[in-house]
Amino acid sequence: MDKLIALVPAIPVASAILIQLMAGRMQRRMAWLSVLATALTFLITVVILALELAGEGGFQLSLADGWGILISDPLSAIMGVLIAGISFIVHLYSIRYMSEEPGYARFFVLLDLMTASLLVLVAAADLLSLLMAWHAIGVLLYFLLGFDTQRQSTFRYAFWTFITYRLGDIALILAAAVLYHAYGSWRLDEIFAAIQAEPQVMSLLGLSATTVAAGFLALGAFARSAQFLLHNWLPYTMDGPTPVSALMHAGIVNAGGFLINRFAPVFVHSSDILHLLFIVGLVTAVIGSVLMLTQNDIKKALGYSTMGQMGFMIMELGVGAFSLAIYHLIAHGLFKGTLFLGAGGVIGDARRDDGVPKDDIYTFVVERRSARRRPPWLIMAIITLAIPALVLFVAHWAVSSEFYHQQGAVVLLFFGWVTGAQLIFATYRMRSENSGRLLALILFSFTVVVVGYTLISHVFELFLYPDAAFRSLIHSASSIDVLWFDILIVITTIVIVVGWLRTYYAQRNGKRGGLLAGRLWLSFYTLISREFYVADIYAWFARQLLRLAERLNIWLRWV
Amino acid sequence: MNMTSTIQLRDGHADNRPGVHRLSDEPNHSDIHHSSHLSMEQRAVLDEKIDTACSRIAPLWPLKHFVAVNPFFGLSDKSFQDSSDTLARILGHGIYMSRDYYREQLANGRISQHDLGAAIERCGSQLSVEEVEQTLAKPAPRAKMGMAPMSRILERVEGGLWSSFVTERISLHCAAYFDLGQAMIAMPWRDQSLYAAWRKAASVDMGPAMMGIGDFRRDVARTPEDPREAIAWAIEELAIPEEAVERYLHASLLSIGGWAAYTRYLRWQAELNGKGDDAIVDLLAIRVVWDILLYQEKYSSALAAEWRDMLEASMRPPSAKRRAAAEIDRIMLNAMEIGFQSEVIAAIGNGMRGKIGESTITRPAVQAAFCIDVRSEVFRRSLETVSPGIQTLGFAGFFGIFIEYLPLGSSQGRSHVPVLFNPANRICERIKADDDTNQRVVDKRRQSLALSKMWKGFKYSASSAFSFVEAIGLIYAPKLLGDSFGWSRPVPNPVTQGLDRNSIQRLTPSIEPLTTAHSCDKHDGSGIPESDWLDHAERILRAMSLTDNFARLVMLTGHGSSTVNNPHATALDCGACAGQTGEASARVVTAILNQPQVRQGLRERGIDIPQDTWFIAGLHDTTTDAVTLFDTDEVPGTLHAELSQLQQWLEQAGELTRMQRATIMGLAAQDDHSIRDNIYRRASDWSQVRPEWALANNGAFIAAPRERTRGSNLEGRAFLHDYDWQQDEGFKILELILTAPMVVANWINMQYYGSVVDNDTFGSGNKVLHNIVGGAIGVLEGNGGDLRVGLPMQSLHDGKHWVHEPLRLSAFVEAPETAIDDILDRHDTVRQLVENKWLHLFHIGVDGKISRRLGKTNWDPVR
Repeated sequence: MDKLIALVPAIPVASAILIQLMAGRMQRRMAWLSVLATALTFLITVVILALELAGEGGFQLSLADGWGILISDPLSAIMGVLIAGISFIVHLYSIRYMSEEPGYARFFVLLDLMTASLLVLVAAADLLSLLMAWHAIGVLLYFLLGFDTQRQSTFRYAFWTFITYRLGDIALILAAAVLYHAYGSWRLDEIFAAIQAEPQVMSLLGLSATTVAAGFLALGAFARSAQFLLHNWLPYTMDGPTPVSALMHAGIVNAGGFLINRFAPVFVHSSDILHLLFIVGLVTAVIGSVLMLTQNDIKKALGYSTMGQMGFMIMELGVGAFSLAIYHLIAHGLFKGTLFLGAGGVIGDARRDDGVPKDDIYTFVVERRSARRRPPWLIMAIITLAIPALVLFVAHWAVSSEFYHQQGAVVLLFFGWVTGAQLIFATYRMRSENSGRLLALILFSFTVVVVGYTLISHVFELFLYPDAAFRSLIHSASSIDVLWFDILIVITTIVIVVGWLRTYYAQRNGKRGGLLAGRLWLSFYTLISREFYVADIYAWFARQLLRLAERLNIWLRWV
Repeated sequence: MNMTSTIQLRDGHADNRPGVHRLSDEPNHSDIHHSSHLSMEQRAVLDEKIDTACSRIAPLWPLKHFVAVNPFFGLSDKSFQDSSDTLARILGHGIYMSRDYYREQLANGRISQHDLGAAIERCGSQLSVEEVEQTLAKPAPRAKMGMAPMSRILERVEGGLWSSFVTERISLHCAAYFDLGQAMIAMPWRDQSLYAAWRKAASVDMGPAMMGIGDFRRDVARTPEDPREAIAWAIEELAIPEEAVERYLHASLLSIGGWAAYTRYLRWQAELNGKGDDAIVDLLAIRVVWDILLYQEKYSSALAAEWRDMLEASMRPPSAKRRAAAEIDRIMLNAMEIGFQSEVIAAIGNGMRGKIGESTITRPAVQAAFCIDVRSEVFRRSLETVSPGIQTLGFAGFFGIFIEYLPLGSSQGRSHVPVLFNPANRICERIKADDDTNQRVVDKRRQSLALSKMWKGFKYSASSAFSFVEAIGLIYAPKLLGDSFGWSRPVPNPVTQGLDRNSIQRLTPSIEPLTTAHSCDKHDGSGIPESDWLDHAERILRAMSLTDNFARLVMLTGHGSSTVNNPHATALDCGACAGQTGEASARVVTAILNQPQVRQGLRERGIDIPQDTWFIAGLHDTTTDAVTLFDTDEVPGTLHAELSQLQQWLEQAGELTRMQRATIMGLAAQDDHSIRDNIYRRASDWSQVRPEWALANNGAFIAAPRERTRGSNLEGRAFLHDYDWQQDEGFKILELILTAPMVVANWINMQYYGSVVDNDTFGSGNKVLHNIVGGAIGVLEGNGGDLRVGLPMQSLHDGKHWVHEPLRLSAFVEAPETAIDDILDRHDTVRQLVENKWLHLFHIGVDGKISRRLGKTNWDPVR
């Protein structure tokens, strides 16, 4: 059975080689070969996951002594299913979507190799295999994004991705070097065992090896998962064909979340880095969301939305919700993959939106009859704010009562609360004739969703981290000072409640607040409409670097 | 600052001395004036040039109703060759195919020696066939730079990405300014003009500063506030010679051609409503201000020299070598057209007119009218093959009724008339039931639409998106699978969303005025007044040349396509209905024609429709070639046998049409069943980049009785308009045909032509990279750049070859030459199209003889 895990990446590689060799003869049909291969790979990953779930997993396969090791564990099994599944959908989509592109065969070869690299990455159990897969993904992505070789701008933007990924590569290589230097092994299981036995091996500058390694790992994850300041490549990958975008947003960009989960035993010994993850993730989530709302084209809006989601994922890691981050990246992958592949469908939307009257007309037509029956807004506001909180707390308490001992959980609850409040608020605004029934319906579904979601994520955590001791280790590592924690909670609450009430008032009175028209708003708008000048700053930096090089050359009389 | 040079410069400009384009030795930072130095007269001259340059740009309709536009629409007052030369002096290349393409056509026999000879004669060339072939074998002269904007010149001087930088900046500004609903944080300056908003935004934007234009923000603040003044100022500072000003402005607009086309559309719409819109002038001002600011900020003697060289080069008329090359291009294009024309002429010769006893003698089994669209030709031929007793007709797909249509519960109407016109009547959709039921269904629909809109808002909202994704994300797994295998529709069908099946079947346009708000918000003035019905009915029937010998069933068939996940979906729908599907118009017309009092009135006016005749509306789905009939429940019981017979024929004709189209779809080798499956799958496949070929390969327009072409295979390349001049008193209908349907056919034809010969400028590139911008304004290719106009490659090219042959339209009209000449005399725009060689006009005589129009009363017999 151990051979099964070798089969997973081997099938796509074999398919890639076959296509390359037979592209001339088989013409269009070889694409189906690739689809079949991916389908087969997907089936095998499902089997492996089933075995893992049944507790029969834990396969291991060594290609060489001390490195080249592939394993199956809960994490790799579940990631494998996601990757192979998304890859299958993307293959299927590409058959017709890409059928007239020059380089049709090349496209499928690259897709297959990418699938294989991703699958090796999640199954790798030693630093060297991991590094090779990590590196290969960056290179293959460059070729996929630069698929249309006729366009100048394609190369320019693909290069942004490439250079950021190289930075992530360096970080990962350094992390590997630190770990190997400190623990003398390439094998992850040996390293993790050594860390557990002796967490505080010293490394550079009086920092422990785990902290340094975790720092570099985090940097690698930031580059891959488009965290703020290293995010610029992500929204600008739209010069690649649509299926590449889908694969990237569903299966490649979330590598950071996987990496940190894979190295969880390192991170539990480096609290500071976890706090860093939280801050960087939070900043990225906020900035990504704001930029998403400013974009005028659908694909870049989706790109920034992914950035925000990746920020949220990293933030979850920072608060110790490791398994939730994996859950998030899976859910997000499916969601975003669907949106990308269907990004051409706005005409349906645009035609439909004609059917929804603008607020004023609608008010005029319908509100005449329903206005009187609506409950006063203050009561509504209280219900709106209180009920989601109540549902969330009850649901989590019912599923796992020790949930509230984890500080990080509270942060996540905040987001759930905002979502719930917004849902009820939006329903309230709909001014439906029988708003009471609709509201009840929404509340009911909200409760069902929250309970279901709580259950799933709880089960998920038990599956990925069956060891209770390790789970509590994660939570204690991610916890922060009580004082800081309280301050954070208070500030967040105030920000959310105030901001939210403001919106509520503004929407209720049908006008925008004075702040929006003010100078502050204009400057802020300029800032976000220029995407915080990040690309411009990098371009400026690159030019300065070139100028410096030029001067050096002249100064040293090399030219 | 350098006073003398400024004065010199201005003198040079004011003197109008040709060839004087001295630039100031160094730029005048402090000399940015708000008041123009131009006199009133000079201002008027410049204003006229600005407006001419703006009118040179063809409009771009947004994706919501994307209709075909002639990209050379603004150039038709010039001859085809002159336009090509004009564009060559701007873009660097003309509007002919490459020599490679013509070489290939010569090699594969598409262009015969005979056609080549005929083309040489037609072009009045002195060359021999051998000489043409020899020259063609040599490479064409290298493309010139044309009239490049300052950003391109700067790029040549100091490298960098200035062109894409400026395009990107302007494009982003336009996208934010015109956004129709993508961005949730709107640009704060949208209440000002485009130019004013740009000045506001640019005076706080630090981007250019980081690109090394240090004082950009300060400079912008000092530019003239009035866009026309800004243009005047830029032209002065850049020392554009008087005679190059119009071309420079035209070039500036073309360098941001997509947004220019969109602003031209805004002006077009405003003018239709008797208003004006100056966004295009604003855009032009932004573009030229960029030029001058770049010039001043990045000034170097090399830049000035390069700019001067470019201006000088663009002043020179085409050299003898280039004129000779253009002659070859012209001959090759004509040769291809001659080849095609002789096929059409042969087809007309093979028609049945006057051969079999005129079909008008016996009563046809069914009369079926279709849109003039080239896709109808294939279907009509199939229908006639299936049942020789059927008479088919061709007429513009809006069937002559000028309506604005409000789908059930909708608050905004959609125009269903050709874009040259404004709708005259507002028609609301309702369901066939009492008012209360209507009210209930409308409320339910609105609620469901609002819910789905809320759901969508929820998905994208900044605060809820995160938890939403975690809570709901997994639900997308089945949807992703369903969409991939075609089990589910990625986006609900807007026609039927929020309605139950029962209501969908009872939807109908209401020609009677609605008096209450039960199903229509804008019910005031809706419907068509009963007093107008008769006039409409008579006008439409006469225009269709359908005034006697009515069949028992007369079908009016609109058309539409079915496609999902396709930004250009509306481009596949009926152009005559402004990019909407055609069933609403057909249903309104049939409803009017079935009114007893209308029939009575028509009889009094000499159109005797038999008691047993019934008009029925249909929709031809051009993707699947299925025809849906509407309001079949209203068909009298005595016609039920005919109705089911018709449905059977339509089914068979659809089958036959699909078989024919299978070849061009690359499905030829498959059996009937899998062809059907494949074609139906295309209609719901979200990964399909080409659900159908649409109007690719169109090339002819024939206005004649169907008997002229019946029985000949026109391969879906001809627009067919039924016209019988003997019944046309005073040639009123002929006038209509030449000024509306023929012009529309020319627009479509030229859209395809432009998209093939220069897809970078007049086409929209690769569909797999399309990125919808501004909600539904248009598409970008990839990350950004200019808005794209025209057709994507996937509509023109099958990955190996061009499927569309870029030919100018050949229009064949069966009417007396004098009548045609007379109408052309009265309509300058149409005369220009013919005489400036934007289309070929042929005349079909009563005897079937064909001649080509060379000029007034000058018709050259062809056969």
